[in-house]
Amino acid sequence: MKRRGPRIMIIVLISVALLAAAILTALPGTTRSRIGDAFGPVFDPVLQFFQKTSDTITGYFGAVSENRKLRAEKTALEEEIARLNLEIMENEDKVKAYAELKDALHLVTSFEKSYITGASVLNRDMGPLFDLFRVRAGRLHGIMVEPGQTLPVVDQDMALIGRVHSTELSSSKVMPLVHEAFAVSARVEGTHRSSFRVRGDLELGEQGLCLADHFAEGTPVAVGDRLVTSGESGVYPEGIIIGTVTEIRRDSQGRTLSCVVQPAAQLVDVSYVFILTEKQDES
Amino acid sequence: MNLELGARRRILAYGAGFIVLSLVQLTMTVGDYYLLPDFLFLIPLLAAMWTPGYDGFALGLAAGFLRDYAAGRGYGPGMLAGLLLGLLGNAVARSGWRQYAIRGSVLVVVSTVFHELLLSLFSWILPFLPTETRFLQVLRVSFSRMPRLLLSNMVGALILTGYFSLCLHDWKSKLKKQKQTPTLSEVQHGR
Repeated sequence: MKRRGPRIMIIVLISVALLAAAILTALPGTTRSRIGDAFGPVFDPVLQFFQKTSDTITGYFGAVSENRKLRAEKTALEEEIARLNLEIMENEDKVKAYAELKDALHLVTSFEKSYITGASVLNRDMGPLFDLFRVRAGRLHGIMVEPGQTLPVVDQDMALIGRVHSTELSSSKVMPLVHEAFAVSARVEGTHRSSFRVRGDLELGEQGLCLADHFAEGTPVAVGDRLVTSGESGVYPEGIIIGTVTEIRRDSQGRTLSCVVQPAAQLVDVSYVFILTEKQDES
Repeated sequence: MNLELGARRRILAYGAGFIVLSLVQLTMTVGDYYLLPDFLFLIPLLAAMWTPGYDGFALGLAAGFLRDYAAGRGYGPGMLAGLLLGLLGNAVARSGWRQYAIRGSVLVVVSTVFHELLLSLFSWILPFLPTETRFLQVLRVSFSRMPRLLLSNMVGALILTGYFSLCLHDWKSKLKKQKQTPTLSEVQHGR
């Protein structure tokens, strides 16, 4: 028996439909969101259940083998707890003083105007053209990307991971910091020198690094400097940790052209992220 | 490889394999693994070689949709690539293990290279935003990924071949043939 292959007419019709879909859904808007809205509520829980099951299985075997290591670690941690308790006692006075000062001067910290929504990572990027990752927090969880708005995604240490690219009903897609289309205004932590740009670079992105450029003349940057978001133009809140400068590239006259930046977030095996959304003005 | 399999058996084998392996692949992206077989790429390719017809074509569309949903910039490019993979598998499918081994391994290598270069080209032609990336850079990055990709996909193809042979290979007819062939002692005893 010879089974016939797909007819040319069917192939052509489907290809044309797919091309049209590709064009329509490449534009930001409702078409992409509607397809995801219909599929996501079925697929996302299945994937998350599968992830949890595989985690439980690997966790069980891992627990047996790591039991010995944990015992040794426990002893070391107990010593550290004692040391930290002492430090807490010392710091309590400083916290009180800071709170009083904050009230007196009406200071607002960087993230006070933000809500934080936690989300597990469903999958990461899958090669060229499929270079976004999906997290389990969508419009149902209050994540909405309005035109011209950027929602930063950070890890548990408030280190920048990327930004929300698009949202669907139960999940969202995130563009990572090392993506070549990602850019953020930055400055060296602890200074108020002029800001510059940190962006993704295709080649550096393969090594999990990104690039800082657009330095104003005379901006002093050194290897080991920690970079944070500058908060300029209000796109990202000020003070989110980006990473550390690992290499400086200069021109023949010694001017800084660009820097290689090691992101502070562990982008390779991040499994849980936090999305910062702005609080709506109550007035 | 096998043209006379019933629809129910094919749907069960491909359906179960597709669901489990795609979930494995998506789960494995959250982690740092050296070998990460691209089952969403391999399933339509090898399914089309096992049972030519609409199987690889349909699986290609399903795998492409999943890829578009999980990490794509829109819907369509992944499905189009999956459709092409299914057709490619169809075109080179022949019966017999020897043909499968030769054609399959060449197909996996060639289509991995082609798939990676094509997607890289598209991501350069249609960027999110105007970027400063040069095409030479895109090629360099693609070729630097290639050894790992090829190794992962060859391992993935072996896993998938094992699964398909367990589910789709006609073991019964082989056993029947063996039973029908009389052994030497049977011939000597005139049975």
